[in-house]
Amino acid sequence: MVLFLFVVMMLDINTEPMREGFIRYLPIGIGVALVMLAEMVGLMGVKSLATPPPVDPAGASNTVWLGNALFRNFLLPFETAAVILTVAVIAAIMLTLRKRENTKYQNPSRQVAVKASERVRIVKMQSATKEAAP
Amino acid sequence: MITLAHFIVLGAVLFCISVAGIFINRKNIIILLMAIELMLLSVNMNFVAFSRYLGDASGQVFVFFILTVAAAESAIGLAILVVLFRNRATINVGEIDTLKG
Repeated sequence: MVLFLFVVMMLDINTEPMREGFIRYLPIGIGVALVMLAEMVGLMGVKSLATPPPVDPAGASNTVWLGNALFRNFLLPFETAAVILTVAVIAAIMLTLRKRENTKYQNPSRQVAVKASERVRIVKMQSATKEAAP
Repeated sequence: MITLAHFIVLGAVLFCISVAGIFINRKNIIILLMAIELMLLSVNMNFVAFSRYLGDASGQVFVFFILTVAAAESAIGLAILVVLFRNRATINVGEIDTLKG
């Protein structure tokens, strides 16, 4: 959600043309949602699902229970999830990174690899004597 | 007393809200992405409820992985969206028609 907020802030959008058609699709959207809700609730048979309260698993809090499952039985998938997140971060940065025009930036490797001959120029010239004043 | 049916109905209501969001806001691609995210969360609600009631922790672990993949998907989707906005200067779905599908 924070990500969405950042993107909404970054993109400067004129919202007026977005709103046209809002009223037109409002009844269709609500109708479809209500029909779908009625079908799902009817299909599941809510009355039959009013089961007694659950058995308390392992007698511990949910966090302990979940932590035991996650770090004992699912450790490799857990680390795979970490890799997936890393890949996603790298991909997002690579997609949005851009090199702007007209900006001045340093190139550190060239700065380090510079040689004295590129900076100082030795000019050979004739030595001159001052003219004797008349 | 909160029973399993309450959680299931809550998940169904969330899913229907997201479907209505997709139908109503057909122009703004950011709101479409948010609605898809809400669909994933409503499915997660069912997973957590069943996991708790059946006493099997695998359901909640599965929710963890769904959240991970959803986070990765929304990060890349929003990055693509930012690049698209830089190139086309619009996020209106109706105007993104370069492919002429």
